[in-house]
Amino acid sequence: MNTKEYERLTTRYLDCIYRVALNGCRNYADAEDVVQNTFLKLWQKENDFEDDEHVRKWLIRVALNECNSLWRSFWKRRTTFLEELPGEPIFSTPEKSNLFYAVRELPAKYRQVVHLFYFEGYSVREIAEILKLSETAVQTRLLRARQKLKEKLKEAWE
Amino acid sequence: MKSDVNADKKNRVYYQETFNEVHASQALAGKVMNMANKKEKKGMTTLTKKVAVAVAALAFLLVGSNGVVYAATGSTWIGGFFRDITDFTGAITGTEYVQATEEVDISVGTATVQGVEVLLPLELKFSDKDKIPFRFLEGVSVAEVKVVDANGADVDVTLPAEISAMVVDGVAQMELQLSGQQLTAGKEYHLILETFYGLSKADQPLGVKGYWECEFIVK
Repeated sequence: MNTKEYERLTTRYLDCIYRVALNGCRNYADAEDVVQNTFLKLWQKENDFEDDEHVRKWLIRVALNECNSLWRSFWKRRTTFLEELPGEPIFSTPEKSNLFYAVRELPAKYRQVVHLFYFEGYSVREIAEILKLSETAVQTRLLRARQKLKEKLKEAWE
Repeated sequence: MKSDVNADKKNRVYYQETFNEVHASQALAGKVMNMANKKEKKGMTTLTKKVAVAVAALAFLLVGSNGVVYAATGSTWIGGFFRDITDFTGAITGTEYVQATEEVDISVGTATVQGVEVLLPLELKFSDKDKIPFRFLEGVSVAEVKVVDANGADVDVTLPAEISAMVVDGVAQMELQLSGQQLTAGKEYHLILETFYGLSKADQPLGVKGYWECEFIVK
C-alpha cells in the first residue's frame, strides 16, 4: 500500500477503529495499542481490497482479533478492571455519557455485537461473518445486551 | 414487532450520536500516520524487488529532472508530518506537527492603530480541513510572531497576550493585538509566523510549525 492511500484510509477509518477497539478493550491505553497494531497490519498488507467497505470490514476484523489476543495474554487475564485514565471522552449531554458507561460495563462479547449492530449498522448475518459466530449466537448476544442496557438505562433505552 | 423495529431505530440514533462524540486523540492519530514513515514493510519477493528497483530508477530520473525546476519555485517537497517532542532524557513528552507551510494558508488584512496597539486581522485557512490533524482542531491560537520591515530588518513588536479563535469550516479569523510603538503608519511590514497551536477538546494544544510570511501596511 502506498503512503497516500494509507493516509487516506487512516483519515477515513481511524475513529471507526478506535471506537471498535475501545469496545473490545477495557482501557484507553490498550485501545490505542490495538489501533496502532491494526493500522500497522494495514500498512504492511498488499492493497488487494475491492473497495473501501472491504477495507472497513477487514480493519474491524483485525481490530477485534487484536483485542481478543490482548485478553488471551497471561497478564491481562489477571488484571482487574483498570482505573479511569486520561483520554476519557467528554460528552455533550449526561444521557450520552450514561449510555457510554453502560455499554462499557457490558461484557466484551456483548459490547462488540452492540457496537457493530448499532453503530456500524451491520446486520446479524454480517456480524456473524465478522465474528465467526452463528447467527443465532449473535442474536442471543444482542438480545441479552439489549436487556442489560434496558435495566441500566431504564426509559432512555427502549 | 413493529414497536421493536421503532425501538431499534431510536436506540441506534441514541447510540450513534453518543459514539460520534468519541474520537481518537491527536497523539494517536500522529503515531498511526507516522507508521508509514517509520515502519519497514514486510520482505519483498525477488520479482517485486526487481520491479521496485526499476521503478525507483525511473522515479529518480523523473524527480531529478523536474527537481531543478521545482526547486526554483521555492516550494517545499513534502507535506506536514507528526514529530515526537522529547525531553533531555529522550523520553517522549508530546507531539507536534511540522512542515505545515503548504497545508495552511495565512493571510492578513490592513493593520489599524488603536491607542498604543496595532490591530492586525489574520485569517488562517486549512487547505484540506478533513486531513489529520486539521479535522480535530476546534480552535487555534497564536502566541508569538515576528515583524520585519520592507528591508528585512527586525521591528521590535510583541504580542502582549496569546490570541485564540474558533475554527469554522476549516477557517479561523482573529485580530492580533501588536504592541506597536515601532510601527509607523503608511509603511510596509512583513508578519512572520512560525508556530501556531491547534486546540481541541480534551487534548493538549498541538504545536503546528511552518513558515508563513504576510505583507501588511499600517493605516
